Amino acid sequence: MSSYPQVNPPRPAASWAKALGQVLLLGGLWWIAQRLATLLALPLSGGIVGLGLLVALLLSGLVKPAWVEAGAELVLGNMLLYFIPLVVSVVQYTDLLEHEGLKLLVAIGVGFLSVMLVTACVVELICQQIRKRRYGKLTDVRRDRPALGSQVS
Amino acid sequence: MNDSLISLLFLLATLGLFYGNQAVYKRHPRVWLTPAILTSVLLIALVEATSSSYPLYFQDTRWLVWLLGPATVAFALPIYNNRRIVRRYWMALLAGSVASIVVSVGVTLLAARALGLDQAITRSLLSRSVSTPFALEATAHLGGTAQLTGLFVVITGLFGIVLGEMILTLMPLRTRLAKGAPLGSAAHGFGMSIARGLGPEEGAVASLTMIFSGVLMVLAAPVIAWAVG
Repeated sequence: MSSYPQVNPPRPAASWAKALGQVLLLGGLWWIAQRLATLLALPLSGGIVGLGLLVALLLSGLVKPAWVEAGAELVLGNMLLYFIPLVVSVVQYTDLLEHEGLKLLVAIGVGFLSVMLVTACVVELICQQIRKRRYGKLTDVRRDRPALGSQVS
Repeated sequence: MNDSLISLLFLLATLGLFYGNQAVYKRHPRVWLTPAILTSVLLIALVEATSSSYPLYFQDTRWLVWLLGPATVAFALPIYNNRRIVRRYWMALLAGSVASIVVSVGVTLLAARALGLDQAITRSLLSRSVSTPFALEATAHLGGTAQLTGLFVVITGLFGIVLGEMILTLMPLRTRLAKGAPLGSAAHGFGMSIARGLGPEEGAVASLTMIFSGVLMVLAAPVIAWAVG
């Protein structure tokens, strides 16, 4: 197969069709994963099983990233849209928000702040450890290597 | 007008408002113009103004929520694309995600008790720090409701957009990983979009911690539910 340099960008209609087909592929994988989860009585949903399955398929090379890339981008890029119907459900909870709204904001805000601070500290500490270890290895290699010119003499 | 037509119109209104809002937000990136806020507020006003019931609104729009399933599977791609970062720093990412779950659940329980929030709300709050598809699955185990959890997840994300970057600049962080990771694990998709603005590596790391903490939350949900009682 020869690869011609692509002069014209793909037509938008064609790339849309491709992305939509890939979304169907992802949906199919999700469905299969769901059947698998119930069949094996796993305590996980189809979503998580499908996620693990697709990572495995991609790593093993059985599925090429190009087969699902456009679809994944489309699905993930519009994710905000999917939970808007859930947010609209506050119409059912107007009483609750009137009475507890401020408390809820405080609880969520405090939770958010602590998660930010602790995660940042944990990741920073471990990253510095990992880098120190790798840097240490490099200096070890350098120390054990005969100095330039020492072999000649 | 019959009900099925009304619910179809609600679906079309949701789509139209969302994409219109997104186009406006692209030109004027202000917090209050975020599609998550403005579109929701307009739709809430619409449902209230037509005095429709929420089940009627949800009849056709539930297909949008259904798409969260394929979206969960699609998260495989960012993991695969960033497999180098995962291989090198898996320990930092995993530890950060575990810490975020423990702190989120612990602090939420303490805050809820201190503020005197009732049981049903507290349970819906527990999984709110992770991305919606994961949060909804976890909340089912934890005894929360999907609607309240979905709402709390969005509010958490908004905190990330408003405060995330400021908090990071106040902290003496040297590694790019430590800048991206907390945004993903504390404010999921919203935080990830902020991290992307900081740089591609921060964005990639944020998407990884977002997925890791989401999966961990789902895996830990039965244990948390047992511990909370």
